[in-house]
Amino acid sequence: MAYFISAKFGLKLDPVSGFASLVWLPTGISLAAMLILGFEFWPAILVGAFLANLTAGASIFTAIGIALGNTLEAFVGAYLLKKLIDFRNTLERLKDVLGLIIFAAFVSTLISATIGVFALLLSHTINIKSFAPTWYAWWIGDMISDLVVAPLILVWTSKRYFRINFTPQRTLEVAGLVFSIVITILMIYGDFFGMSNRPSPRAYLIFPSLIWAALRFGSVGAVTTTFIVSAISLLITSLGYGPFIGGSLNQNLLSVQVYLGVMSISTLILAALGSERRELEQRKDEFISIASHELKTPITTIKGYTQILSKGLNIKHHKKELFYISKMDDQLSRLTKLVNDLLDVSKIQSGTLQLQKERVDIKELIKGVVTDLQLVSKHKIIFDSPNKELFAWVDKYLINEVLVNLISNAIKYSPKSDKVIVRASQSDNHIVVNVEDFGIGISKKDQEKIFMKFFRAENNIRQSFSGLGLGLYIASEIIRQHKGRIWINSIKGKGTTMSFKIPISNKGDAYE
Amino acid sequence: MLMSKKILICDDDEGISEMMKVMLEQEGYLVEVLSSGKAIQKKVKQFAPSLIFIDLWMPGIDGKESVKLLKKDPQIASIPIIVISALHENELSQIIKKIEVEGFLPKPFDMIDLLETVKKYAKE
Repeated sequence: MAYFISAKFGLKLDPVSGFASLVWLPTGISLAAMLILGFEFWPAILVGAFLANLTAGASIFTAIGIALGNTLEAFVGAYLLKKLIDFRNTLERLKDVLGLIIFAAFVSTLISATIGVFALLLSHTINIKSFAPTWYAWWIGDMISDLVVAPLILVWTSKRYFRINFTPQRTLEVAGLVFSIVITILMIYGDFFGMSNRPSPRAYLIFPSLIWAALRFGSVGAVTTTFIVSAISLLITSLGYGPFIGGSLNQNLLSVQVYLGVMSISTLILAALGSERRELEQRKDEFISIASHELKTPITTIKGYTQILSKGLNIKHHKKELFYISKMDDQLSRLTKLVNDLLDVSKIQSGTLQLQKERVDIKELIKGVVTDLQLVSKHKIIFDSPNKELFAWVDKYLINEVLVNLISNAIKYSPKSDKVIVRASQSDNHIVVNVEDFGIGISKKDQEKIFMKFFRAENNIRQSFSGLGLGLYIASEIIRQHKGRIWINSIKGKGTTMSFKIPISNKGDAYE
Repeated sequence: MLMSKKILICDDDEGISEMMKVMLEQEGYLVEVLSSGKAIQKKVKQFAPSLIFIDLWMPGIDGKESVKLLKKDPQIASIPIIVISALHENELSQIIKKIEVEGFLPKPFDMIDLLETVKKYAKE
């Protein structure tokens, strides 16, 4: 049915020699149907093509010939894609897109064009002189259909599309993209809309919008925008407007088709490359996440046994053994921190670190961290805070992590000093926390980079400070997600003050 | 005496449940270990523990399903359940809001964390 209707539509648009239309939707529909429904769908294509050509005035023999060509084209295209490259309809892999371009658009269409035009020649519908232009028009028409129509159907019918998450930002971006396409179309086809239009290579103005669609919205964005722009371009060109006007309708349609072909190929390839890259990123994040989770269980077990072991030992008789065990325990703590940091980073990068906000007394939170860290630190940790509670809407576990990080850093980087001062206060609608140490300090040059991933300040005693340099990056990301700010004041050789401020209220927060 | 307090640990990783068993037995608890959620209901009825530790991620019947099974059964629904998991505390705190458990113990935990949890939650 679809084949028949779309074929009738295509043949209406000034077919070359009556049958070779430059706008041939059925090729793309047939290929997509074959790929989605399976090879057994071929009789439907055969009947549809036969009826379309018969009612267009072809003899039975010619109609059979053309219908066979059309069916074989879809069959061969789909067969090559399935057998040679294990084609996936989502068009999210480069090999699927290249396969579609080469095997379907370029190769399989040769069959239909050749058989069809021979059928026309044998039935004397065309003469040998018009063989070449008819064949060419047929081939290009089919090719564009495979490049524009088939991808649209294939991608929109694959379930994957429905996984797109329409957040407010995403919806806004779609609106922006639509706006940019509308403006570009108005610029390209200004004459159609009654505006003056100087001849220029303005047709290519559409590319930035299409690249946007492909890179940000993947194959769904690519096929949808390509199809819409193609439909508008063909319509306006067939009405005699736009930058492709210059010769006969056929010549005009031919030049617009070449333009659409280039457009579709570039957009599809870009979309696939973008999707592949995203997929790779996602796999990497998943790997880090799974690996870190899996590491946590054995770490817990080893840590547990070292504690069981040390419990059974007597400090008088097993001083050496207990010392070794404490060394093991230190390293396990380091390993734990490393695994936790990697997990945090993978969550930050994949955008899955979600705040679970609640009303928390930051003063109590700091007290807890100070008490815990005081147990394992030789430094005196002084906590200086006002005489009242300091409530704020935060994710207590994540802010806890930031505090542990900043205070541990202060201790770690001030080996020759004996104290660290933590201050908390309220200013305007924010809670401000400072962690001051009297240690080695950080040079001005390094201060700018301190919140970058894997960054560690250069210094002479670098070897004695372990770690991946992820702590401050994670802390800054957590504070940023709380819509707060983190900063550093430091003088080399004198000490460092790390500070952050976070809003008290929860208002205007999109996450709540 | 503490001897009367029984703890059930359900975790597919035998390494960690054995370690927990040793720790808790040293403190005088009676401990049994299950490696899957498959027969947990039957086991709980038979053993009658004062506290149950369940790993969130297990093949087959996972932690969430095991909790549901136990909390649906009026005979054993009052036994406190602590979920063990390698998830971040902030995620874990969200998950346990959705299932009926008394608390959670994020991995990696140490002896103090484990013993404090048991002291806090184990039923008299």
